[in-house]
Amino acid sequence: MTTSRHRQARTLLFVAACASAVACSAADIANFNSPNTSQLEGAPNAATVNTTIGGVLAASRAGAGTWASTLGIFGREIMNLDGAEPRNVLALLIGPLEPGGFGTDVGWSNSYRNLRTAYTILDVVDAVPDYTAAQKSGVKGFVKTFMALEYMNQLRVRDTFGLVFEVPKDPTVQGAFITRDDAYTKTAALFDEARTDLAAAGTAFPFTLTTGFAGFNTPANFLRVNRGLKARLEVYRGRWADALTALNESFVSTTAGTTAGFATGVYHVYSTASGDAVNPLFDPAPRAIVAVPEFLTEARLRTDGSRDLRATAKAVVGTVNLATQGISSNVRPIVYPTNVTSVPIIRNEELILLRAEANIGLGNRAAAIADLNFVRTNAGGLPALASDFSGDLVTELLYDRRYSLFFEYGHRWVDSRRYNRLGDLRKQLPSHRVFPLVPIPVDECNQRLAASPKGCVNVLGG
Amino acid sequence: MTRVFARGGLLAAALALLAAPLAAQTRTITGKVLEEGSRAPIAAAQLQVTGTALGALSRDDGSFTLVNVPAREVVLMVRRLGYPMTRITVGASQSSLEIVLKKDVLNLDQVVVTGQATGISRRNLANDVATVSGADVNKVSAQSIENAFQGKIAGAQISQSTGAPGGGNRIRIRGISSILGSAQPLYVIDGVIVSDVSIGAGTNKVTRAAGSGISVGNQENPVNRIADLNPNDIENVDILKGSAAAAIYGSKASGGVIIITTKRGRAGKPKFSMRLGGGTSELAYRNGSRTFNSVADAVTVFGAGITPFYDATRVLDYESLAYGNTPMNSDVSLNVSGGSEDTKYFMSISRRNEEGIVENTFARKTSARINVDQRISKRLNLQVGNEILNNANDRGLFGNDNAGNSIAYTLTKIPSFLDLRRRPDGTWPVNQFYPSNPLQTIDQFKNGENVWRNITTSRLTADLLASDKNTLQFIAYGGVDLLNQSNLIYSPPTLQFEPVDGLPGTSANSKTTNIQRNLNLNLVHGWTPQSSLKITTQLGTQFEERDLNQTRASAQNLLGGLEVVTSGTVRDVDESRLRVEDFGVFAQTEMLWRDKLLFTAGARADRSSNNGDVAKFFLFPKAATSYRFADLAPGLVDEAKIRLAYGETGNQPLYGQKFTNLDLSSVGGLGAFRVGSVRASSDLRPERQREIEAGLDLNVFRNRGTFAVTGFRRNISDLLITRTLAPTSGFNSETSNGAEMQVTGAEVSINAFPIQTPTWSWNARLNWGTSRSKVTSLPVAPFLLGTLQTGAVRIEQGKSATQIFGNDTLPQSGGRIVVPVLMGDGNPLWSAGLGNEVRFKSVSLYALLDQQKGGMLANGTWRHYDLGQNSRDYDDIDAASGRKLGDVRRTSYLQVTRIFYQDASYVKLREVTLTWDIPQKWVAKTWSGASGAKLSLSGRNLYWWTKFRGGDPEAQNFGAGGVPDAIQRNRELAAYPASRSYWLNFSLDF
Repeated sequence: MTTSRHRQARTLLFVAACASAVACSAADIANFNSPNTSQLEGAPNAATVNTTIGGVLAASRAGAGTWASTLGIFGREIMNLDGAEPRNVLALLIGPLEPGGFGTDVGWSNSYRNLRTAYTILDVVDAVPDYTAAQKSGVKGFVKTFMALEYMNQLRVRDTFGLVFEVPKDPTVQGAFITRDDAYTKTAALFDEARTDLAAAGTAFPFTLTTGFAGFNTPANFLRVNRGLKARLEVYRGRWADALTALNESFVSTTAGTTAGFATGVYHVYSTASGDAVNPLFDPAPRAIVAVPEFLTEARLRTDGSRDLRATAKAVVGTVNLATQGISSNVRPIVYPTNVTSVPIIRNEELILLRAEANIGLGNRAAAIADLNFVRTNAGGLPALASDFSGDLVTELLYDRRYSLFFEYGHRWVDSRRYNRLGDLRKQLPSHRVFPLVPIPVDECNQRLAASPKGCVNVLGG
Repeated sequence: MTRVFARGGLLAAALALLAAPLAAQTRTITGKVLEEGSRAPIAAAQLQVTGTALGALSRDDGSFTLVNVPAREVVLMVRRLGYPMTRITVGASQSSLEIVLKKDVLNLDQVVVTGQATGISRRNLANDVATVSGADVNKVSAQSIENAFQGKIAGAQISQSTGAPGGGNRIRIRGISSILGSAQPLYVIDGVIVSDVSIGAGTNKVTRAAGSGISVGNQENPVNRIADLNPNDIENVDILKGSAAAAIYGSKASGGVIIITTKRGRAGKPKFSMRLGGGTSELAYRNGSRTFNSVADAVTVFGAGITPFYDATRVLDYESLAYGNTPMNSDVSLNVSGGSEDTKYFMSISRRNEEGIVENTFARKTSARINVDQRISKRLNLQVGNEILNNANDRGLFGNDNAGNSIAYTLTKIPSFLDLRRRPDGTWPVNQFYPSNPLQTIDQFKNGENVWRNITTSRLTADLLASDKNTLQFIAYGGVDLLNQSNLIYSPPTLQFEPVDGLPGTSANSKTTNIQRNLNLNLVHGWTPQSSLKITTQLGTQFEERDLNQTRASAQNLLGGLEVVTSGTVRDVDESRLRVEDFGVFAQTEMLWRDKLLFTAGARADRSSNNGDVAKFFLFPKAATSYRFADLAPGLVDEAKIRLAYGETGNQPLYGQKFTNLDLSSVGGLGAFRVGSVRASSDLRPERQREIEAGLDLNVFRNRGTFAVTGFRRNISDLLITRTLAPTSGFNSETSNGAEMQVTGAEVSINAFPIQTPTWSWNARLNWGTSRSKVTSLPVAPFLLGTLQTGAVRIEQGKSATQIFGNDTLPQSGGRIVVPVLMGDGNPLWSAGLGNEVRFKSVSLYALLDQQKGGMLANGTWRHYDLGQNSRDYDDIDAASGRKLGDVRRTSYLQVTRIFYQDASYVKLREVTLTWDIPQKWVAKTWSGASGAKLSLSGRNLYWWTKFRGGDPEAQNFGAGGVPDAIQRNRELAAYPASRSYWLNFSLDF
């Protein structure tokens, strides 16, 4: 009797549970807030891959603020005097830079995350059913160019500490650290592979690009961007002839010495649309970002006694004097006048200066002087160098690069290191230090305790 | 299984059973229940004829009526909270009796929950289950019930994340239980799981504390929503501390289970109880600030521009200006209970209005509850409860910030000579040395939060079988917890900091709906083969689903300064959804022999949509035993009990954790997918805790005291670790099960009544708990949670899971070297509470001390005073270096982390109450309808002793209930400051 009633009751129980329509089947609930990577596996459709190329651009843009600001601080272009985050002074101007310290990631995670996304595209692009062969080639050429750019970005930061080139498909397998020079070689080869792909990419990309690529959104035109970036890399490693070769295929131009002429190039664009990003370097008050005061006072004089037009067009003495941790400045950068002003990836003014630099390296002083003069007279309103100028052309070049490329990409710090002139960077206080390079971030070091990369050390600076 | 059970015909048979008539030979028993000595009537005593389902409750005058009692000798079991359980034999012909109960001050006979639908008397309990009565919860008006638990539960650390009105707490019971998951307990009210979700307000859009999103919950000091509950409705709270006790709750119970039982109606005339409270509060701690002795000092810090503002004679106390509001607080409640034997009700309304010490901040809580118990038939009983509540607050703008506008943060940067007070013409001076004027922010910034919540609980009991030896009950619990939260952030364009980004005015409007549904079906079989043996077996299923939907919209550059989001030119929207379905089945059997030996065994199997394999059931077994030695050494040790318990519980993966996301964004109008930074593991499973608990309970000195000691060890395996991957893999981390941890601890509780006379009484309660954790297995390289420069938890095999590392600078040949060093442990060595209540005639004084020994806390507010070169002792000279102390700290803290990472030991005078029971004759003289009145004066957090420099050593403002638990506990930064509160209460029963 008892047993039978038990059974009756258990039946009741189970029927009631099933009636709630769940007990009988297990619910597999998706993540409503995000698609997942299974969409990019197998043979994804073109739309998914095209959107992922947007992701490569978004990630590349996510690093742009860091190059201009953190490297800008290292190179004494700007200072971040945010009272709410004094580590911008204490860590980045005084240091030491520690693997686990503030601000030493400098885009490391973001660059490799972008490389992961890019490699994922390369893994599947050949299987995308709705791409033509030329379109596949276009995707590869475009993506590889941005991959090479990420490697180059990190080489600028880590220099002789080297980096990891391989990003194995299995993320638990670690790619090996290679030296800076090996990394230069592989990065240059990747730019060249991309060039080959772009050359076979037909007349149009299968994906849409942002307005920042206006004029460079076909495979043929984008190939010229690829060559410009390659020239930057070749100049960094002092292969002057290769740099000139690349520049000849780039969009370098001295036909128009106008603002627009110099500005020709490709850009990261920003917008205030929901889900998009605004320019992180825009700080109108300013609340945190100021130029070093000497940016204005060290600008050369024009014949009328006023300062280099590039200096006065890029910074002004403002009403707000920011002060923290014993340093201050009232010079406000106006390079980015709105929160949607684009940030250059590469532009003609830099290409002209790269050509001048390559020619200096090759001893072609006349050609170099011609290019320097084109820039400084047109953009800076400065008097031209004499055609038989016999002084140090590198000093002249670095001056022009400082004022032409101010607060764009952290150029001054990288340039000072390349020419062993870090000592020329002015420290605001005697306790401040100039760092030659940045340690490998601690998360990387901790995963490689068996063979600690040589960059896993504190950098004291000088 | 399905084949065996799914026979539809049996359903009809089972239902028919409910209507079957009882045995024909019956009688009626009437009587009275009285207290020994005073002979006062005892209301609400539960009477039950053993071996049957027959029962009744005594009425207000102590009388009761039992009908349909079999006409043979029966044993009547009498239970009443506060009195020992008593068995009385009633002869076959007896029809009336008087039952006299002796007061059980030690609560030995209280029934403690051990299963989903079963309980056992504390006398036999095999686990250390802490119980807090409703009266204890309401000793001093608290923001949230968790505050009322502080210092009252052995082994529970409860810390308030911020001093802001409205609450926000974190509980950690028996030490750390998860590295990355939450340690928050599961809350169950009247058998139904309710939500303790924390939802951010959306102030991140203004503070940019973490990125530019609208809301980053753990940096916005959210209220964890258990704070919504009305403490006045609570009858009592059982706290199942560890897996051994909580295993029946399976994969959601690793943080412990807090079981709240609400008050229920009693038959009789309506009885009203009213409580009126009024109070105020004040700032508890002042940081002070630097007095700038010369204009040169000021120029060094603020630049030459400060010169015209310097005035050596002006020393403003900004903490008083910002935190000097004297609030008028009130806490009012009224409840009524009554009904007939078949229909009983309890209704309550309450309103608690608390203003903050910062002007324009407040928390207003209003609730109404109705509990109805209806006997539908002799065998069918229905209990329903419904609470509707509205909770509104404004908690100001506090906590971390990267835009220079958080009030407490900004205060650290203002020199005392700078006058930022409102001018007589109503305008506000511009703070030229920092982006915001905090006094203006207090005046104009709005952080409005409004919650409507409805918690419905129901319990249906069907007595399927009630014979002498067998009882079978079907008990169903069902409930819905519906929560709607809206947040309106309005930062008007007139605020000084608003144009900083070129977009004056920010508005953020968020709506959140959380729905939690439960259905819990149980069969409880009681078998009494002989009078000395009782076996209770329970079978059940539990289904739960949770839906959390949040939509947020924000706008900047508000045209015309309107609050509405459409007035902004730059808009952002955000939506997130969550859905979880869980299903569990459980079985448990409990055997009690001669009221001495208890043996329990059970298991629960759970599956969840959050697991990698959604169809897989995870099994959580338990077993426990206890033996009671009665009359061991009468007068000295009256009773002793040894107990041993084992159980397993789990901690579920979080929603969405099993997927590697493609992150969504847009770039210049193009859609963008990025491979997510966290790599998922597709076979995620719940963390598993295995706990063994052993203890000894003594009842000593003629029942004047109880002493309980418990030791426990829990091994936690399959810990979810978001292991850090080398960033060069393209991922930051990978979530997987892997690590193992061991937590060992002990707890002691003493409850003593050294004096018990009509004139004097003294009750002392002491609880003490300690726990240590050790990471026993870590399949990955040791990793840091946080950064060394500001202190980080280092997870490392063989070491405590809460050890904190930081930088230190050591001399070495040729200079100094910065190295990571162990600074201490975030988990306290021990915590204790000591409550004393002394009564003299009608006046009683109660005080609760709450102590924590050890633990560490990063003192972010002090750090920012130093970084602003504005701390009170900045100009003191450091003996070692001869430099200013503040300069030394400011310039070296990144290399010497312990400067701002301090021991968080404290002793707090948590609660004090002085009560006067107004003599009945006076009360009756004033109003004949009144049956009792009390007047009391009380205070909360009145004083604390600590070496910790800064506001509150328990402030941990990176999120209430935040994850990861291991690290988020140990940081304080610009929190809403702590306050002392004072209350005057009057209560009246009629």
